[in-house]
Amino acid sequence: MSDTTRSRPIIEVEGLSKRYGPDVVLDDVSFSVDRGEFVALVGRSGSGKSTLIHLLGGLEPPDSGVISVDGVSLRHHGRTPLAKFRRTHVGIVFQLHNLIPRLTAVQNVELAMFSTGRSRHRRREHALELLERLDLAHRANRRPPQLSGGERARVALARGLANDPPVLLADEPTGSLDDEAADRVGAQLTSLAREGVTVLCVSHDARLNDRADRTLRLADGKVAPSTD
Amino acid sequence: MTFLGLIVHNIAAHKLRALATAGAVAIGVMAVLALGVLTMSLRASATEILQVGKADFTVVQKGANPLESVIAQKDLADMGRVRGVHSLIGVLLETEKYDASHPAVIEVGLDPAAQEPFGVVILQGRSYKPDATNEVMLGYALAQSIHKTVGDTLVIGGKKRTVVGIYRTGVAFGDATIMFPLTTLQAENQVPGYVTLGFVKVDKGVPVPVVKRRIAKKFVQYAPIASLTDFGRTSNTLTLVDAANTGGTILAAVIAISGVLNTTLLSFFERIREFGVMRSIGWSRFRVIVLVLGEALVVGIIGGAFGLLLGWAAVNVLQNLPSLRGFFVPQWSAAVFGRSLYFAIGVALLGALYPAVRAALISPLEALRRE
Repeated sequence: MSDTTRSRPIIEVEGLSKRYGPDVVLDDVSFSVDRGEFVALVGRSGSGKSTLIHLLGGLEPPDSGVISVDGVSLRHHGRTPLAKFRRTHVGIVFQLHNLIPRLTAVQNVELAMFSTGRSRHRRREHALELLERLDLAHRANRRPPQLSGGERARVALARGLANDPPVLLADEPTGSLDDEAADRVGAQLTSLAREGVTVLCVSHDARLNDRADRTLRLADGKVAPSTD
Repeated sequence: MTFLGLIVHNIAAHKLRALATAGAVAIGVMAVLALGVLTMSLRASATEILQVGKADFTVVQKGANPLESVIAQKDLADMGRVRGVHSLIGVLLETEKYDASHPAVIEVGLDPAAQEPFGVVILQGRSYKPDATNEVMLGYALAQSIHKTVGDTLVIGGKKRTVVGIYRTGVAFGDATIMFPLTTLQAENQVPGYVTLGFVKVDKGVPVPVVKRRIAKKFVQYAPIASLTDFGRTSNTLTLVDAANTGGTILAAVIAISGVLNTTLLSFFERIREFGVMRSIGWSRFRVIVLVLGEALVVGIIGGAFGLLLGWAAVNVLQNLPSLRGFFVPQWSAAVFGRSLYFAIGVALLGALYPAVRAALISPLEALRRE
């Protein structure tokens, strides 16, 4: 990653607030993330980490503030353009993976590629490439219940990467994994960041956080100073 | 995986739900097909009644059904003198129970002299004598059905009769009747001097509508009819049949749509997280709607195919009901099948529309939080 490319923030958040009823989850949060950065988002449970990921992914609207991801301002989007935004600008990996149990691993990855103009053949090819890259080619035709937790996490990661997004948002991708599986996922995220994908990852896993370029700590609805 | 492949995959993964949906559609299609065939057959029967006798047009009592019309023979004789009328044959039609399998056999009272101009061809035996009280002829279809032939005897109307001839009329309706001397049938039914229908032939070169108008003008209590349109003007029978068909179709549609809506809505609640996943990975609302409607469409087509089979079976059951034997000859047409398939597709899409819109409108996060 060149310094010039890194110097231009791909995620810019300013004055972001979100509350659920009387509970203020995010309070005037501002930060930015450079292109190709691997940022770990840490904080206690309920500190708003997942909410922040959801807001950045366009899954729910903020109460106030401005979010810009890859040059797209989310404030001015209706819901359908947000679907396109999620399809083209971000990949989202959920803590529970949210794979569709009756579809195979490769079909789960392909699912994200509908409406992208790729042919059926190209979708299948790309999905298999991603699974191969994540050491899952041999499990491509297995359904999620037939996969281990680590394998499911990697399938979810492959699905998040299906449309080659510049930004990957991951919500505790290693949360339910054993050490070995967590290490593999962590290594993949590091590798992605090296290739230029911006990774913003919620994590309680100290080893995963160690891999990050820097850490953003959320506390009391605000971002604490960054640590490198 | 293609989008269609995903649709088929989803259906296969929820077989019971798909079967229930297809079942709702199939029941609706069965009703629509059976009603459609029944309606067409009743219309065809009405047409056949008009066509028996090879007449240019038929005279009936205004406002009456063909089998319930009453015409005085004296009036028919007067009609016969109308300019342009070549011949006029009066026929009495009654119904009588023969046995449990033939609870309503149509009896035709016709003078032997009128048989040939009426289009009756004797296939076997001879005609009855004009004043015979115990001689009858059988249409060949009825003869086959009740296993009688020339020389056999049968009891109908409480009297023993001898079958003296077997005939055909060239019209299915006429070939399933039993024929009596006119005066005998009039006497037994206590309607001497009255017939049911008058069959009119016009002079060569004279336009039929002109003669019809002359009769209609002079005999206002009677209606000359030459087509189903004329029939519809003088009798509300076909209108009632059509109304019953429309009503039945609407009822079938409501039941089928409710069935599809119910099962698709249950499916929506079962798959709510799945829709949340799709929306969260960038599926547009439109694509979610197309997915749900596409699944409904495929299931609707499958249900429609089953419905056609069920409808065909239902029509066969109806055809063999004793009370409809002879009256109901199924009329199958591409239009009835086409209408049934359109119905299947329509109810499937309408029933799935609300769940599809709900699936599309749900917030991805709200859906993902559902257990």
